[in-house]
Amino acid sequence: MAMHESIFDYSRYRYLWVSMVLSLGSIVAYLWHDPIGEPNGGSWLGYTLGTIGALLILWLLWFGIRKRSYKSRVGTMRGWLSAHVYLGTSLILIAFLHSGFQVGWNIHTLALVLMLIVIFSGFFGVYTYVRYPAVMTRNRDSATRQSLLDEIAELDAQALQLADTVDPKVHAAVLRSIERTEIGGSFITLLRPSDETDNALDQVKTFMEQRDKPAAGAPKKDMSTMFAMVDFLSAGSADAKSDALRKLLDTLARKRSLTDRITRDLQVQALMEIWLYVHVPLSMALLAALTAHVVSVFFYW
Amino acid sequence: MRWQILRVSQQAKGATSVEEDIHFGETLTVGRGADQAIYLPDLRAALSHCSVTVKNPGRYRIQSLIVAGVRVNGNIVQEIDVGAGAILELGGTRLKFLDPPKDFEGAVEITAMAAEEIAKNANRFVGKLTLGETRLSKRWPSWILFSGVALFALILPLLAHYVPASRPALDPLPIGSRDTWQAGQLVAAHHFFGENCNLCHQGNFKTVQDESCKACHGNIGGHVDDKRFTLSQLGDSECAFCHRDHSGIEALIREDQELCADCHDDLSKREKNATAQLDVADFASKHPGFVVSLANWDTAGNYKPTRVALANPDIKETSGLKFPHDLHLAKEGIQGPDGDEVMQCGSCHQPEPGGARLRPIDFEDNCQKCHKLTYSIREADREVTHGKPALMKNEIEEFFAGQALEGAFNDTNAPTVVRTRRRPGQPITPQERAEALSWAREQATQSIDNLFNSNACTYCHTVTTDDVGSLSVAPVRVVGFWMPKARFSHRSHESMTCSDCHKAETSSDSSDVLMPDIDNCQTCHAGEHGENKVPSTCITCHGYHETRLDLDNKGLPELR
Repeated sequence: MAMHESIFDYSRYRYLWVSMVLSLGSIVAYLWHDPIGEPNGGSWLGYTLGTIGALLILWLLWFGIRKRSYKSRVGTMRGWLSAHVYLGTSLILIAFLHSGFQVGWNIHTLALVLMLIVIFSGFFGVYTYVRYPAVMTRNRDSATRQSLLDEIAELDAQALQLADTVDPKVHAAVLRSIERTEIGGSFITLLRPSDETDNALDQVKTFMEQRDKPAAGAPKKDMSTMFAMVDFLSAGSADAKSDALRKLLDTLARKRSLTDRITRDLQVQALMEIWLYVHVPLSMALLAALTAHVVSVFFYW
Repeated sequence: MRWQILRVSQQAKGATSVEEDIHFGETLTVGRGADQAIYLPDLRAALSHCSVTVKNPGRYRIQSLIVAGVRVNGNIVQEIDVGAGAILELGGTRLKFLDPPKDFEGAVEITAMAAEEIAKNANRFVGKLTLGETRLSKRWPSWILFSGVALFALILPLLAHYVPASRPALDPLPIGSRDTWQAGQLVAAHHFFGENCNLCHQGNFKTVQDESCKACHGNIGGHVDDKRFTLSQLGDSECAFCHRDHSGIEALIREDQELCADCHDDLSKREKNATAQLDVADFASKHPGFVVSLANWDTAGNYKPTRVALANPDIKETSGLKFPHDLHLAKEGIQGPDGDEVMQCGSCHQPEPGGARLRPIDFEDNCQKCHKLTYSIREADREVTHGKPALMKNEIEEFFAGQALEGAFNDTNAPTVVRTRRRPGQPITPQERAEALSWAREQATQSIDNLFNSNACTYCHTVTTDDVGSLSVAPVRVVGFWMPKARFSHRSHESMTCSDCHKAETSSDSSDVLMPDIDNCQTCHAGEHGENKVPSTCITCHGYHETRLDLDNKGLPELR
């Protein structure tokens, strides 16, 4: 097996071919068959496609069990996933051909709708599978998440030390910032991290403005960025406090960029997982709806 | 105010030692400053971080002195009232507030955290990093959705099926009712019992049985004579094989061509009792020419029409009538009582109220206006009643007898007794009476002969006189049902003119059959798949459940 083989071109697109043959065969049969009345699930082709579709759904659901059974030797996980994606996609066509494109306010269409949501959430999963690992790697820049977190803790200690040499107010501000720093949290913060400005940076900035007011006058409002302040500082008197302040600013800025990277890392990972929270529960709902669909059709045949 | 301060320090092998200290003062200050009551040499503490006051014994108020706040019982707060047992964490130190012992107002136990705990706390900013750690779950939503769908889509409808008492509550539900099992709308006629699934569906995975259909449709016959044909040979004989409900409001009756063509395409070969059946598959490409029923009676007087193909060149209708259509429809008109009159088809042929067929032609309504049945010159408006020759003769005889006996008949050729005006009540002698009636008989015979043999009846009828001189008029047997096996409506062909189909203008003889053959219909109609023409399936003209079409002993459809 070649190393570059993905779920898409697994085994020379074996499952793409399988699903294409299945789809084309279904289309040809659909066009060729001549049911009584409009095409529907009750014709011989309707029953045939319905059986194929139901078996496919059961097999696709089996993937959830197969991926947990690490001992299984029935094919590789990559192969299973490849088949899962391709055959799952062809299920859209088979389901619509099975129903003759008829929909209504009933449990049969409920099963169809659930199936479509499950499949399209799966498409989102495929999208994340294709796109986000690269984003994640680039964002981490060959660091591990734990090393990034450790670095934050280190920077916190450094910042406290520096702040202590500047002023109790600055120290308190840094302390507050450390206490308020939060990486991760609820699923909402993981998916949509709030872009709160670093309070410590603002506090330090304010302190600097006050401190240097008599000497250099108030800095212009638009010079509010950190870099402007660093420039401003280095231009000022280079006493020990200024030096510490400059280092502190640098430390806080580094921490800021680190937290940004980590939250992005967490966000990407959450995006790669969140679709499963739709995909899996709704596939169970689909299993119930499919059962109800099959039972009701034959119970009141 | 006295504070008891206990400093707990870890010794080797897990043992601890406690060092007691007493602090006097209203507040207990905590911080990194040397002036603090509790001095914590820890960068994570501000110089003066927080203060604690005693509200009453065992109750403490903790106030943060910096914006960062202070962590009490795990939460960052600015100010909080706590009781004994509360824990304040600051950097690597833990302060536990206690119930003050006797003679003390406040008590606090100070413990230095173990190195690993400090390290753990340093990572306190790290929250849940993956979705799996958050409250999000796949398991319980899966269970809820699975059970919910199973309940509403399967269990409740099944409950309604098995427990009829639950139906009034369950059936009207927008979800959870058996209504949501319906794949499509019922046909219109079934709507009034549509809620009662069990009327058709027995449940228990059985198909809809014919008995359910026949509960209402018991008078629907089969397709053909089931004594001659075993239905299984014609395909699945269950009603539901063709009649699939829940396919929309109009979709219960099959109208597709294959319904018939699948068998009738070569029925004569596939069914030994149907060798005389003509093969049919498509109205445009495979359909025999039309065959009409000509009126005929057997010797016992039963109506036994003769089937003759329109294509047969010798086809003739023997209606017993003489009627030249061309003469009546002449463009220049035909002589009528009020001068020349141009007649249209509709002058005589009018539709029945339903519009499908035309009303029978009636002498009084359609003919008598021109073809008057007068018999006396002196009373030109007087006509005999059409239809019964014997009655007609009576009417004439009675007329002349009455005239003769009453007298005052204005005719110079008549005998005196007939011409003489008599007063009312004036008697007439038997001799005069015999003379008058003799005249009357003579007049009547003349008029009858005139009417029946030369002036009126023979225009249309064939009148014969037998050896003893009695008249007889040939019976009138106009065909009423030309094509009894097809359904045709004149109303749906109103946009056509009569002459588009019936060549009446050129017909000079009533024996001409003016029914159009199939090619005439094929100018507009084609089979189901015909393009550029009216797509017409078998069901457009023929019925499937035609009980009238049982086969006779020649294997041909017989009419009842």
